[in-house]
Amino acid sequence: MATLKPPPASHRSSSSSHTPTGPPKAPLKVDPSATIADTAVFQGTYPVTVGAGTVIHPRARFYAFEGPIFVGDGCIISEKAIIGAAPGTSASTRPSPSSSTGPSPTSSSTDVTLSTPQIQGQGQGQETATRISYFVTIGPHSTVLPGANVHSSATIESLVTINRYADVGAHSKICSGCQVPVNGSVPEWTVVFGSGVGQRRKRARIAREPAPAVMVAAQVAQLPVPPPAPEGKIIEDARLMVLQKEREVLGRMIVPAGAGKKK
Amino acid sequence: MPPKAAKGEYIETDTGNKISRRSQIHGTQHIILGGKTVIQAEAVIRGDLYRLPSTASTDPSNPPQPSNAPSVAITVGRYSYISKSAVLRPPSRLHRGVHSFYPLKIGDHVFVGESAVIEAASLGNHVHVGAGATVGSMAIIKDFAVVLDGAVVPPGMVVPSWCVVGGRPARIVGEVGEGYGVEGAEGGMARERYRVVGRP
Repeated sequence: MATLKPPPASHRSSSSSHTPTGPPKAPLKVDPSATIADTAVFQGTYPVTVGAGTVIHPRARFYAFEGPIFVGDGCIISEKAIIGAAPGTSASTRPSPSSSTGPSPTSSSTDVTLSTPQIQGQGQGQETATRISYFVTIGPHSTVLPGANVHSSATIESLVTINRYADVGAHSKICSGCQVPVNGSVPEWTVVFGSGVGQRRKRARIAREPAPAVMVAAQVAQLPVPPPAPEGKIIEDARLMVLQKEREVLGRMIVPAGAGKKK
Repeated sequence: MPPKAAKGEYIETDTGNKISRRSQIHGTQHIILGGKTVIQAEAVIRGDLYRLPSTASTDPSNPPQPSNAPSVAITVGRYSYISKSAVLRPPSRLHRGVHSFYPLKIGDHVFVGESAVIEAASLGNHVHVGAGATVGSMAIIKDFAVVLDGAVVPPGMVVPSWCVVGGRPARIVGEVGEGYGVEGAEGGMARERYRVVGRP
């Protein structure tokens, strides 16, 4: 059994963004309460806005070449997530050493659909903003392409591709390995699961009568029976509270950027 | 950095671990490798997400002990193989109002495929995780189990020994055959796999 020794500093910063000849670094507008790991990559010409309390894990990549990227408050962007697209068609065609993670379906679908002026007009006035709203979780290896709009409290698990101009509704969940097609729209409170485009179902949001035990307890204690609670809502609130705790913990653990170098 | 560094792609440690120079390992002091483990390029290993020593909630009664033993985030056994772009991150959960990370234990002779995302509590010995598979938070994969390519093992699932799971979400789709994991046979190629890594 042996413990690994920390790698030399030069080894860690192998990403091309740190070399002077690398692509332009995106102008960052970060809320002071956000936590951004030192190895997160921000490239591009458009600004990247990061809201309060957001946590960005190491090795997450932001490519603001086609338009600004807005990340709202309280989001978690996991490692190897890609927000935006690298110049060219997709991240997978990029000759950088850390680029081969883009799933191949991404490149094919973008190639087909990128004939719109928004894409060719990269750097020519047309811009496509990528919006990630409040309390969004984005899992490892997931890709959010330019023009996508992820609404608040959505969960995007690992290895997901949100294609261009797709719209993910509030409180929705895209399960691992799924894709949201170009211009696709996921309604709010929806779960997308399965392979490829996947199946969908509504999240349970029905108002439930209190459990029998609660009824009995209320009778024994001679208290009014509590009103029926919207079950899905409670679960969702609890999930968001756990997320808040997770962000607090992560904020303490992740090595923040700017310890040595200022963005 | 060119893809083929002149010094060789892999760093070999005293215990025979072969670690790619382009691997993305965080928090190395919280990672234990059993030896003869291969970590390929761009694999992300989140050793920085370790379990914090008892936080402020337990302070009044018993002061936190000086943590001389570093808390371990990720343990990997012998002859395990972490492919390119795989992500190993310790699972986390809320327990008694404290959100903490739990150690991720990986056994011996384990194969983790390309771009797989592992958030499991434990992977047993001789486990095979296919490319692009996801193992959800706090899942437990027992010895000699096989997770097929692209499978999504949901959080908290326990995969029994000798089972093959696949699909999204993952279900048990079969069993591994007789003699699986025997040295040199199917599922028992870990030593061979290790030997060929980094050879010119």
